[in-house]
Amino acid sequence: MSELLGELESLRSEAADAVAKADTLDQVEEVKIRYLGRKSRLNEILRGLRDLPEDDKRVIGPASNQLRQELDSLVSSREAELQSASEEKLLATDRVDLTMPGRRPPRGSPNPLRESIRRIEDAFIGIGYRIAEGPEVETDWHNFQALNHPPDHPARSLMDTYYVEGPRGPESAVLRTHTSPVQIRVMESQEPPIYVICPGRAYRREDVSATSGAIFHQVEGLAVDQGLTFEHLRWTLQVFAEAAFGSETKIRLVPSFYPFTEPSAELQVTCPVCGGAGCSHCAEGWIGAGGCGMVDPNVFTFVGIDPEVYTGFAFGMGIDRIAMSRFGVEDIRLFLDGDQRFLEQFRGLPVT
Amino acid sequence: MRVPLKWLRELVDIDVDVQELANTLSRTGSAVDKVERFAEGVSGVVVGSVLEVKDVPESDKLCIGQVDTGTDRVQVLAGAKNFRAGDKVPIALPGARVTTLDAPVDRRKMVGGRYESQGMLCSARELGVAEDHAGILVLPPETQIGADVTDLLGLDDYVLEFEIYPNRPDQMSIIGIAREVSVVYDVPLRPPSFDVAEDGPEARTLASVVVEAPKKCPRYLARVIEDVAFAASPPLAMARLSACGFRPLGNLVDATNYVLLLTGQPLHAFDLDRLAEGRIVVRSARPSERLLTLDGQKHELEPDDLVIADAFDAQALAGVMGGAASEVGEATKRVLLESAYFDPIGISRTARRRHMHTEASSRFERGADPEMVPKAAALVAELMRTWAGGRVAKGVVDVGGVPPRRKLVLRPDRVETILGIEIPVREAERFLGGLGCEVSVGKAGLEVTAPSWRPDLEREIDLIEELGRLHGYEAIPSVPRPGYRGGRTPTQLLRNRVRESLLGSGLSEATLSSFITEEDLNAIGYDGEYVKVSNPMTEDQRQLRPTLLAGLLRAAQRNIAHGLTSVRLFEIGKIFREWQAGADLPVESELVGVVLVGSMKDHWSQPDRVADAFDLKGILEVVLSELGIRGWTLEAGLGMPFHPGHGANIVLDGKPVGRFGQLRPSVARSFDLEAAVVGGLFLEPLFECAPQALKVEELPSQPPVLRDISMTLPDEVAAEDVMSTIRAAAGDLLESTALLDEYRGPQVGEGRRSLAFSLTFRAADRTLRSEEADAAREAIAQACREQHGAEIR
Repeated sequence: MSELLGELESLRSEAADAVAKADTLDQVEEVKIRYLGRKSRLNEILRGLRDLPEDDKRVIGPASNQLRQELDSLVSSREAELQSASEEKLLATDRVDLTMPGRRPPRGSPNPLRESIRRIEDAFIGIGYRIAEGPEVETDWHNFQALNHPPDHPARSLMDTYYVEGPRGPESAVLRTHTSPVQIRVMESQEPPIYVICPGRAYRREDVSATSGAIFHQVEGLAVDQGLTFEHLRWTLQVFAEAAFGSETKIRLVPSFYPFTEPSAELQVTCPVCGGAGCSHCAEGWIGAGGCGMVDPNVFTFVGIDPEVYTGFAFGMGIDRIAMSRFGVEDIRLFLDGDQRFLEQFRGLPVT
Repeated sequence: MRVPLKWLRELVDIDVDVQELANTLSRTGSAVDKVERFAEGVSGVVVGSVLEVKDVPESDKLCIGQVDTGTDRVQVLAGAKNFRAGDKVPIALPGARVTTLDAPVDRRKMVGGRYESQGMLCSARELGVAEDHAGILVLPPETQIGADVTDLLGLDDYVLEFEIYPNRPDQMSIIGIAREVSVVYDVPLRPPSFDVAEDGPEARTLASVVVEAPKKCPRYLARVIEDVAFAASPPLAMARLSACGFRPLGNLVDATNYVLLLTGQPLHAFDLDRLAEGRIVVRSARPSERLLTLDGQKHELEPDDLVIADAFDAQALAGVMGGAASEVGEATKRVLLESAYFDPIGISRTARRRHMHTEASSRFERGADPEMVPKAAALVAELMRTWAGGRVAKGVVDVGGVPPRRKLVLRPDRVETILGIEIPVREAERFLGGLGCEVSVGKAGLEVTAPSWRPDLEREIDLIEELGRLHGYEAIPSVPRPGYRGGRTPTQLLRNRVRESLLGSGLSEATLSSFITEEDLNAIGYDGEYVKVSNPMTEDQRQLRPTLLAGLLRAAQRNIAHGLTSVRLFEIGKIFREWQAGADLPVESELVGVVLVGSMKDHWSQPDRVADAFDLKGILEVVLSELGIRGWTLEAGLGMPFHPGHGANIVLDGKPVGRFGQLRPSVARSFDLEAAVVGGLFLEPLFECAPQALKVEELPSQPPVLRDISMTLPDEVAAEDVMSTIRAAAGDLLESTALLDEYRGPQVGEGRRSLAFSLTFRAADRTLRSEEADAAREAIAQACREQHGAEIR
């Protein structure tokens, strides 16, 4: 028995020595086979255990198993050591030129009008408004009459209108001259309280130039509820102006005329270019940003809302003009051109 | 409306800086568009009396005059000879400024130094009064010698130009603006005198008026002025007309224009001797009745047009423009002066139909002041008496009447309901009183009688607006008031999802025109219905687009022309097609359209490659999957504008919801493109199919068994059909299959291709044995052989 124990001891030192001397993973593998393989002496001893007398078995068994574990761990730690050394060597020489462009997942450019609309939408959703939409080809009723523009009223000449041919002749419908008809559709289909904004495309029969187009985009807003006053309109417009032109923007309301609001006002905002100091872009620091007012009682009557119970306000702004001021676009026609060189500049647009 | 500041100050006593005045008026509802100078800087010009005039012997044109300036006797040379000894003339003395010279007037040696001119006699143009440069401006004989011409003619002035809203006809007059100033600055208004000295026979004996259309002409008043002498108007009147943008046209017409500007009442002077039977008939035009108006236009009228006729013929287009036949001029001896009130709608219709927007029509269509009719007529008559030496016939021929003034009630609490602030009763009374309302305190609130010149004051809300603007919108505070349950609808959220998906696939979002040219409709071979615009401004606005594709292709064309090698654009927008029977509006649908042109190489490590139908199919597949839409299929073979073999309809629930494919080469060429891939999806049917809920599946606990299968097939067998066969033949054990590879070549032979598919088998309840997977693969192979003529490799 002592003989076997002695042999295990010498195997231990012999094997430890061999592991330490192994310089490559191949050599470690050889050592592993020699001392731990099927034909190794240790394996032989382990297999011979069952033939040993019971007392010997009790001593030799644990000793040989312990040796096996020891050797296993020696081998694996040597393996790990060698592996990491060879990896380090490889890493020291393996280089790529990361100044070359990366494989970018493709990403298109956002549209400045859509982005402007989205910001305004988000601001209004934040104060409890919904978004309403309607057709671009409209009935005369929705575009004009219900908005308090009777036929032959001179106010109609404020908006040069495209007429659309149809079953009722050459003036069967109009290309909506503003997104305000959506207000009428909302009021016709829903009871107050109403808090909506209506973004969309509108049309005016005008000469196309760098500053005005036949096709443009608007956001209209409408609130109808009990107890709404001009004071609330002012606050709401401040929310709008900050969303559209930036958080530093101040507003001013100047009396104006729209057939569907009374009192009516023009919304003026501090110039986004000079911040209100006055520059070539603005009139003494202010620019016109849209129209607004308290909903005219006639409009409520047209859509069947009692003006003695409810009051409301409405406002409308041109998105193209807003985007022009905000982003310094000189020519409104760029918005309808689909020029990728223009659109690509809106990547990385500031978030506010 | 142009308002000279000095004229305005005659009616209201204000002494404020003109820019400050403009800003204050703009903030209270009288929008000043701009402030201009009139006869800027004219100074040092005085009234001189001509003592003698002689020709200059050395010159054909020049004459030499001696002029008494009140303090001096001055010698001047002049280039015009329209004045005589005894005339009063404007003389610019050394140091004076006139509008036509950059430097001050100075003494000047003329005619080779033989004569000294010690000043300059001025024409109307040199004083900035009018364009007339034909002669020296001869002033009326009663003009005071030595008086300052700048003061006398209102020169070196400012002109405020007002934007007039459709509801404020009263602001189209000097009086109206003066009234605003008087309310805003709380200073009294000094209205002009409307007295007239009548020294002629009874007007009724000289002319008659019949109104056959009392609805369109509620009031028609005529005055007669006899023995008028046509001449230039007094210089002050000419200066004022010029400052207001009117050309002086002689005293008779100028008198009507002058009063129009002052009072806002349009007036017309007829040559009474050219009116048959001295009779005015206000009637509807006869069908095809002809009229030559003062602007030289010939009109063929229709019964909706109202005319002022004599006993036989139309002599004026009522409220719009006079006729040439009865125009006043040098020969006129007797004037019939019209002052009337016409119905706004009728005037508006005629003006729009005839594209004649005149000073008269713009006031009548907004609503003139019916009570101004007699006053304005009296004032014009008085001017014709003093300017043209006329004798004013006694009385008027007046048909029709004045509607009663409107009575309104203003409830103080209603003011607060709308404006949010309280306006004290005294302030309200002052504002409304200043505007010309009669105000008294009644039971329900203020009882207000609106003035005749404010047709816009019809309802309580109109009064509230007046109080709001005069109190000042800036004095109304901001009070927070959020809405109620905000958010986006599913459609709006899904549309944004489509947008995000396409941006994430590398496409940029365009917004393009809703119009389409006929050329483009032809280029893409569109033969369906579309919606026509009745009154396009330009040829390219004649049709509304029935498709997004042409617009995207034109955008691609422009981008390629700019030198880009890769175009990837999408647009989300409306198209317009047929008009269904009984519908109020044409069918309008929202689509997303996509165009890909040119290189799809995104990285230096990739080979270069031109966009093909698979690029677009992949992009649309991502859109559909982002919307959660499954179960769509393709239907190959499209007509124009697609390549018949490289395009397909996308079908969902048996209905086509979109299409995509390679463009036919001939179509691409008409957009100057070598090739293009285009497609579109109707959004509404897609959104209807988008799932409303999501429930996750339990994750598998058993391991998968992976197999491949490779087979050659005849070309006409669609990969999708093979995959359906695979799914059907494999049974429940097949978890998924995907196409790995397509190969064509000599090994598979002509008319065939090889397709390889991955197969993932899994059993939910146990570890699947390899033999079971092999058996399923064999079943797949067998089905493909039988159904598609596959050879398994």
